[in-house]
Amino acid sequence: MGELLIVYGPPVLAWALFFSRRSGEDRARRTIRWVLLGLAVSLTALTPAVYEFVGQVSGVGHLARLIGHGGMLFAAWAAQEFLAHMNGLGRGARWHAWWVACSFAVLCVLFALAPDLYPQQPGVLEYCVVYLVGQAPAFGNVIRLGLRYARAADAPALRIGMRLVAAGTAIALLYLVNKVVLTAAARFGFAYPLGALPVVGAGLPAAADVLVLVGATLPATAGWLHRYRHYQHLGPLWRALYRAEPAIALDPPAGPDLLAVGGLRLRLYRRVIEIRDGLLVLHPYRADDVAAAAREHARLAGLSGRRLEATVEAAAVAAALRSHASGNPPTAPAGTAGTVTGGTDLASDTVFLSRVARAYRKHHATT
Amino acid sequence: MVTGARRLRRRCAALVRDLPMPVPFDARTLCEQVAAQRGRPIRLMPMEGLSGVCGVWVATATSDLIFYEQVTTPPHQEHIILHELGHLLCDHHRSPDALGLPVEQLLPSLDPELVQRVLGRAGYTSEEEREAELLASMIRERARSHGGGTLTDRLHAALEDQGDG
Repeated sequence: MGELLIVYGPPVLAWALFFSRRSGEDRARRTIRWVLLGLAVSLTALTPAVYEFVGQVSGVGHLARLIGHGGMLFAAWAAQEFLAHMNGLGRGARWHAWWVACSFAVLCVLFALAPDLYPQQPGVLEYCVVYLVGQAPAFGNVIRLGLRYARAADAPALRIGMRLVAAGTAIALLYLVNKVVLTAAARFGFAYPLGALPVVGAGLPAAADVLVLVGATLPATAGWLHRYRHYQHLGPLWRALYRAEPAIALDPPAGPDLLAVGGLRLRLYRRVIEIRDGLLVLHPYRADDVAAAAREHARLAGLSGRRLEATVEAAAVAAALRSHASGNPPTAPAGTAGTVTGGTDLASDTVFLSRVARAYRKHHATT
Repeated sequence: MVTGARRLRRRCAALVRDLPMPVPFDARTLCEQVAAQRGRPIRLMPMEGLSGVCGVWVATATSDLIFYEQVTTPPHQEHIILHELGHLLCDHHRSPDALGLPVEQLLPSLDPELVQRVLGRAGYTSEEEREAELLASMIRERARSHGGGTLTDRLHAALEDQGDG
């Protein structure tokens, strides 16, 4: 079971990640998909079942190996394109595209000339060297820039993700060097027992693949969790405002929040905007004395900063909702100006409203 | 109903694709760029305590005026501006008296005779309001996917985009 997981887990993960990502019009996102595609093709071709199947269908015993290595070279080229885009360049260096293309062409020639893939056979060592040299510039750049990006990253998920990608790529490079030394040992007859260990032969590539795949997708996964959490938190406040003023909703509520797993960016954005619309509607029903009493109460409870502001806002909103529901006349005439508490951009306002919504739920539960 | 919603979304997506997209995104800069493309100035007018609506687009013979509620957060103000810009981009049309808005109160110096169209943001019962609101949301969505000008903005935009979530 463990061996099956090591062999088939990485390709399954790579395909899942490839299909779960939108292509979009942005070149950086397209190149990330290309990296995942190259990895998925490569890892799939090198699984025992596919390896044997391709050999049987094509009549060329080890053709799947060449396909797998072609996929890796493509992934290396795509990674360079991605890095170029991150560095503000439209495209990667032309020499690198040629470098990868020529490496693959030489691999094809060596593959055709080699009688088989036993390491002592002529051409196999050269094949391994060319495969290493074809990917080395891209791998070196991924390690170097991945670590630099990690230092510049402002979010933990991005920082950890970049470090994982750099670590996985370093392990992949180590594996390729090990393969060259192992083949050279067979050709020239020197001992290299380390290279024959299963942990090196099977463990290194599996670890490299998983680290790169997990690292490249960690920011997206963390981002999704962040949005899902905020969307859930905002639910009770949004529903209370929606009951008070149904016109705030672009679309009526459809299904429980817990099942809202897709299209979360737009859903969360809509929820923030609709809550703000609802708060504007409630504005004339707000009472200054309620906010002042809530502020004093929150201070006595030891709250300060944004937590205090969120608690005060929740109490003011709850009182305004009650006043609106009971049919009381507005405390201030419509069109009266006032002040507003919240974030200065979408991200900070989402966090603030999420705090208000949690405080509102607590407030609602205790009154 | 589903077909109608899809058609609306497709129409908005096509409009968003053709829009210039300032990097980093700023709704006011976008208005300036759209105004330059159309050859008609767009004036953004913050107002405190707009009554019944939180944004209004007023088209006169020579310019477009977008009034937006000032007593709300900056991202909400930005969304209101984008909604009114949506009406303008979709070429929505309503006569000045249809909304029941006292235009002379919004802009006392403006001759009511010069006002050609007025559209306010208050609920989404009409197709025009739904279209403008969806367009505003989709502009904001596209702006996010373009990221900002810094390295970390580009990394976030490229790596945080998984699936439709």
